[in-house]
Amino acid sequence: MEGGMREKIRKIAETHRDELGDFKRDRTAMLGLIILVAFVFVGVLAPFLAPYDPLTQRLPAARMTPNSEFLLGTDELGRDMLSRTIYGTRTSLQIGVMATAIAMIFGVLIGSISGYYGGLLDFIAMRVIDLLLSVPSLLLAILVVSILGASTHNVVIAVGIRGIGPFARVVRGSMLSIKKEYYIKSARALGASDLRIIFRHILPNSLSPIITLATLSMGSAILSAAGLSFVGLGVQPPTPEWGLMLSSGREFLLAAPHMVIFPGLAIILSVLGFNLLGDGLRDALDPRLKGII
Amino acid sequence: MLIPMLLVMSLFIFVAFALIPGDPADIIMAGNSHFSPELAAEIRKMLGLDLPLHVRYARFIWNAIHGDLGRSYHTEIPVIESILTAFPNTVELAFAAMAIAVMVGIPVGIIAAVKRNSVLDNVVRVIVIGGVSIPIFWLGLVLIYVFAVVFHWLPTSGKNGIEHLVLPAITLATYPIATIVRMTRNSMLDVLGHDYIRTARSKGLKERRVLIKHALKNAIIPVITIVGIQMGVMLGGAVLTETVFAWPGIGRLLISSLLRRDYPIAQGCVLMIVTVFLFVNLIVDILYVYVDPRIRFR
Repeated sequence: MEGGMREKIRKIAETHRDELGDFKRDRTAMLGLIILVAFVFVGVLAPFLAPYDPLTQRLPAARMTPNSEFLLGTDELGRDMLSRTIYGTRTSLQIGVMATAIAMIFGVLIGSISGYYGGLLDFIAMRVIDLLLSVPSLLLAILVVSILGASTHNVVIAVGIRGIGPFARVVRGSMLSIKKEYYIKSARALGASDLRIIFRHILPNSLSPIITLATLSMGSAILSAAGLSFVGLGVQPPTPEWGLMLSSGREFLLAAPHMVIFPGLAIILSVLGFNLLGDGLRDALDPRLKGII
Repeated sequence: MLIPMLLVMSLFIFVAFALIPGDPADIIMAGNSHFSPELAAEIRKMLGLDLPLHVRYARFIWNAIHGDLGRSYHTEIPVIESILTAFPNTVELAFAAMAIAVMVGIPVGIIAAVKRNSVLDNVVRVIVIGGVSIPIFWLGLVLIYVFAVVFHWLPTSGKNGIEHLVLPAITLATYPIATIVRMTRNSMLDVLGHDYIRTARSKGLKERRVLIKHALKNAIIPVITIVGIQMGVMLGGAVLTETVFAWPGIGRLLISSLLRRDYPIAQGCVLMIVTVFLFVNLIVDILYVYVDPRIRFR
């Protein structure tokens, strides 16, 4: 089994060798990758990198500007900003990855079935997706959170649901164009089941847009989650989350701007990483996607 | 096409709000500090909460068509009134932001395409990627800090004259500027590679004429779609920007009503936003047919 997997991955990498070469030469994309690797590093090793516990309050030391003891200052409850920002990486990355995973799984499922089988199923599925996309994305997330209640868990669901549309459309498009190809017809003539055709033949060839979209979606997922938390409809205190930190910092903008600057920079950098990587992937794998994704 | 979509969306919104946990009678009584079980029962009856769901929906639609979207749980002001007060403010903000985005974005995109791979082009590409990565609420706060707190040039929030519009409009314009610049640039680059441009140039036409009369007219087509979509998105509440700048628009109304559990208002806001969004998309689709002659003759 081990050998089989490795073989498959090696084969996929081999087919895309040219594109991977393009990608490596694209410096901004590599920059994005480096940024992301750094963030993952910080997120995973948070307990070792953070100088203090992110939840410990020290009211007498509240709102201190950056100094030697607290490198990024403290927030309104005296918690160390550096530690909270570091732990915030965990929260944001987790939300980003899980929400995108939900969007990807459901989107690909709906898109493949819809595109492959066509007919009434396709029609209904696409109308549902249209519905999903006819609500501005933040609004959709706000609605879902209002029904389910504001919590980290529900933020993941809300942001995930919001992301399904693009995946469904992209995969459906892939399905529609590839299913006309001759090798699909021959596979079917050989008696391959529909499921097998979808998973072994069509999907691997639609991998490029899916991967690109997934990367870009993670960036926008982080932005949406931060936005939800900012208005109070997302992650709840005391969990360290960058949007939430911005919301608390807002009150003290005059006296303690550091409370606003650093979480914001963290958001920008992480989203930038995903966007640079995503753009690079798209340019390398299929520049035709420039107008679509 | 619009009406069925609207009906389905209204059903969707109605069901969504009906699903929110919490008894409206409790919310109303809590907000007005009366409390008795008899009053609760009376309120529920008045709101029609004891009726089956489809009947409630029918009543909802019937009332909505007649302009009655219910009353606020807290202030009992008719929802339609609150919405009609707030919405024009959002429109004002959205138009201002769009004007900025178009006036800045399109020229920059064109120049970047014409001077491809120059220093300017690369700077522009950096700005574009930055623009779509910035959290709009952070940008708003930073702008407030720099221009209102440090320099005292502009006010921090609220709505009281055109100087109050400047910062929110610039903040809201950031994302559209980035997408418009990107789209214009890509579209121009695409068009400039076509044969008819080469023909125009070899005819000896002045470069400026080539650019404007031939290239731009074609390149602008997809940009119009983007502008339309962004407009819809912005009218969709500009929720975050309005919250940061305490701009009395419909986005802010939505958030504040949700946080207070004043669901009739929230529901009205969502309904309004979605309707406008669908409407704007429809207009964009129609406009697209007019602007792209190739579609007309297909």
